Amino acid sequence: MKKNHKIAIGLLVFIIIISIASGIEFIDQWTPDVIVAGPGVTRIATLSDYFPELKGEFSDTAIYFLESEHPGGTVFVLGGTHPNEPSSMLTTVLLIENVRVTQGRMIIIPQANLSGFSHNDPQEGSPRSIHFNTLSGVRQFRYGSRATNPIHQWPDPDIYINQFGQSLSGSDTRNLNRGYPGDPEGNYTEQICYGIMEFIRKEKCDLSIDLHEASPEYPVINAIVAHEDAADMASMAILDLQMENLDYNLEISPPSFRGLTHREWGDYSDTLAILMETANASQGRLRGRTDEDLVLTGQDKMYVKAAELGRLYVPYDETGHPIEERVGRHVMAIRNLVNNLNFMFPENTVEYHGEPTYQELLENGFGHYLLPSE
Amino acid sequence: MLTLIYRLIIVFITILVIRDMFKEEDVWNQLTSSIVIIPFILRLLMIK
Repeated sequence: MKKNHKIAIGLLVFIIIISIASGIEFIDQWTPDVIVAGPGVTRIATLSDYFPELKGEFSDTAIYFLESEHPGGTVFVLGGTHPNEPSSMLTTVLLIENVRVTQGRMIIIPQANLSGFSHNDPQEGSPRSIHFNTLSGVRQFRYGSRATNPIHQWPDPDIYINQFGQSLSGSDTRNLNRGYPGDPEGNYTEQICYGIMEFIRKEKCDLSIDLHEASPEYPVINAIVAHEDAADMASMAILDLQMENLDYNLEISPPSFRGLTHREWGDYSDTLAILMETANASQGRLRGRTDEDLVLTGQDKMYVKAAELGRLYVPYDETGHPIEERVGRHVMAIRNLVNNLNFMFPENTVEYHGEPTYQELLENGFGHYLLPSE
Repeated sequence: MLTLIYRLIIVFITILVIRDMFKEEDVWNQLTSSIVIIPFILRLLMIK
């Protein structure tokens, strides 16, 4: 056998070993996160129950119902629209594992774009998962990608023309928060959007809240974005939050900014549509070293420098914006939005308890409120 | 259908690169070929 053939065979063995090792690591990202049904969970459905076309698809995500015996309204909380915005999913996990509803019902989807959780963005330096010490051991959650996995939806067009004829960047064709109100005949992501719209319509959700995070240099941050029908309720909630020393900006959903939850949920259903943002350095463009620590603490000297130069829309110092603060803001904002829903629409009252306060989260840490996973 | 065509193209290119790796006399070029093949295999198997 010639020498170059021997080398080629050796390299083929090397290729097979590397492919198996990296393949195992990529496939490990497909393993579902453990979300424990807390004492308030009465049943679990799936998105395909509302849009059967999703049956058997990777995107057929779980829906947690927390129902009381007393009639009232329905509050819907959506997490995980963008899986690289961890306070979104973690807030919904916290609610699922801790909350009990005493009037009306709360319905929660923790991982809206399940496909987005099945991969991440290695070239962004994203960690594959984040970990929390709990009273009964370590709990792990995936840190995914902003968009649907290309193995589920491919190829991206050069320009994504949405359902309203607006031109967006090609990769936004896999962005769940650009595809509403969805299309039963549309692409993979638009079908997930359609499933969520069908869910909101069939369950007659009174208030629907979509949780997000944003880069510290993004203008819409520490904000509540409200459809015009929900503007009064959001205004009152922000005043209440300011009484608790939590500053929020109120943004009214621009009528021409199509495809997003705060616009299309309100236009294509009877729900009061809200979107909320917290500050996440790990998805920002100015960040320095990107790792799990940055995701969990938000501590980044580049953002401290940017704040000194007046380039950010949130205060930023060496303490960063830890995940407890970001989850705490979402938890408190949901509480105040629901309180004002109850005030404005008493027939749609939703009462619940069991979630930690902002201060309790800061003092005890997020992991303190996670249930044992076994 | 598009994905099937995409995967057939990947099979074709992967075979070409492997064939080139066996014909190549320069070890560094062979090593380069091997590095090119890895992402093609992962794509072929729809892993990433």
